[in-house]
Amino acid sequence: MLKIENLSVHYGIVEALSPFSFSLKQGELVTILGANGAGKSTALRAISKLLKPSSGRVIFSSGGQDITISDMQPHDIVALGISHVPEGRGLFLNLSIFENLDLGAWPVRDSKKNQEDLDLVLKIFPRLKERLKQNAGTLSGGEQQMLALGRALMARPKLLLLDEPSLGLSPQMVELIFQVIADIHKMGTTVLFVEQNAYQALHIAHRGLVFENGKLVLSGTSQELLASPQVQEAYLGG
Amino acid sequence: MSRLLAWVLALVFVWIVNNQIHHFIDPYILSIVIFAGINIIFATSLNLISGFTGQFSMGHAGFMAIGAYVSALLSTSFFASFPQLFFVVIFLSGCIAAVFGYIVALPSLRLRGDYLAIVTLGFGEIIRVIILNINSLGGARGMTDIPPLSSFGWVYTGVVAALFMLWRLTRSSQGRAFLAVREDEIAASSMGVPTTHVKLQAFVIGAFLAGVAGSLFAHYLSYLNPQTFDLNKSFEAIIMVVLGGMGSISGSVIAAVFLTVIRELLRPLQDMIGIDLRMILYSLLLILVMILRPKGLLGTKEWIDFVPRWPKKVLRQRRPLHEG
Repeated sequence: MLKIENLSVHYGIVEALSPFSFSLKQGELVTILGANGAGKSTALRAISKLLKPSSGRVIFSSGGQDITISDMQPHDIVALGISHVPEGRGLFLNLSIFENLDLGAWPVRDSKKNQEDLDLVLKIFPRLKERLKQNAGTLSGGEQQMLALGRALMARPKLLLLDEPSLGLSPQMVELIFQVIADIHKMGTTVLFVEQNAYQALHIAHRGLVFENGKLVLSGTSQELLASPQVQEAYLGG
Repeated sequence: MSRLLAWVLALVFVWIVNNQIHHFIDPYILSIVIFAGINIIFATSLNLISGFTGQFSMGHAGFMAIGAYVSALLSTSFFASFPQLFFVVIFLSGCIAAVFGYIVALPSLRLRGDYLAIVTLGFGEIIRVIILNINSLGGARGMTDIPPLSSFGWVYTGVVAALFMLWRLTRSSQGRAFLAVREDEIAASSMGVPTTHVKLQAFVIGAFLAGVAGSLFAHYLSYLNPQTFDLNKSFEAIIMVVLGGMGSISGSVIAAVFLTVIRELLRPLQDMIGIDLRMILYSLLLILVMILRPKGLLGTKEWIDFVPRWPKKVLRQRRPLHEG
């Protein structure tokens, strides 16, 4: 579904991400792990073109067609079915929850589908339903993350990119968010998500990729990674 | 449907008033009313760019100048013998201003905040200086003998049309895209909103309406001078937008009327004391409002948000997603 070939990113002359390649199959749930500054978010941003990569290609296959998305504008990529929930959620804090969700539905120009999606999102997150007219800025961190996820779902993504969905949340809320990610995946969406919380991420993911200092150093199934001494030492506390 | 009817009724009302107004209002008051109307169009058009889309433009008077001079040219040449086609002149001059809006916006929208402000400021000045140096437009002497076609009816038809357009636009999901760009451009882009396109749209529509305001202005005064469209004119619009509330159409309307009227109200004071206290009081008033209501008079709210609950149900049915 997604094929990344030698993608690299520079901030000025500093190499933030060395060329890396991997591919994602339809229906997979894959996590990107790594310490702070390892390049996880950069990798995600390079895929959705929120950042301009300095080399390499990203190919998105959908409906039997291969599309090189690394040449496209970010808003066209969203229209293809790749939604990115940025780090820090990127909500419109001065707009209401309804307006946030409506903006998420931007690529789907069909009010009947929008209404279905809205109903679905509100079913997944009943808490948002009670607060539809409230400003997004008045929500708690966990609720904001729910809104960010819900907003991404409004675009009917085939591939969902999540940047640290558990950031700054209470353990209980983290569990809930991970549950929702697993549910979204079960509904047929391919998910690629960045996490610090390695144990929980590997618990729901099929596969994992480990970044270190801007390099993709390790990749394998969740079981392999959980058993790997390298991962255990670095992220799971021995 | 009932809301559309309200706008049509507003138009009918405007023309009824237009035919009767000379009987019960003296010309001085009428001129204030007309300037208020022109300022409403001018301020709300900037609000779309600065308030809703968050692009700080300091050269809005430039678009007004283009609208004013183009329409003056048209109505003294091609349309000289067809004063009844005034609305075509207004529309065409708005379109030309819109074209300039596009030309200015295209390169400058790569810039943000302060940088965009400087570029638009430069644009406004360039327009003024160019007009100043075109002899056939009167140069520094100004352009005279423009047919006085702007009546109360035309100005307020323009006001109703502009408000209707902006109202519909900002309440649609297209309008939410403007807000998204203002709030967080990166997030907007990751929602699939084509941010550059949206900003261009705001500039083009804003410039169009500023051109319309300029056209009405030219045909009310019958005389144009490039000096009218200097930085102060642009700032006047900015003040109206900020005072009324960035992102509130009703706020801009109230501020435009308020500022137009207050300047005239302070005029007798000047005659009494003999010193020009007008601008000092005017500035003090602005400072006071900004201290008491830092987000502007209405903030981002519209008048309808202040209407008590029961008539609201009638006025505002639940909007379906992606309306209009």
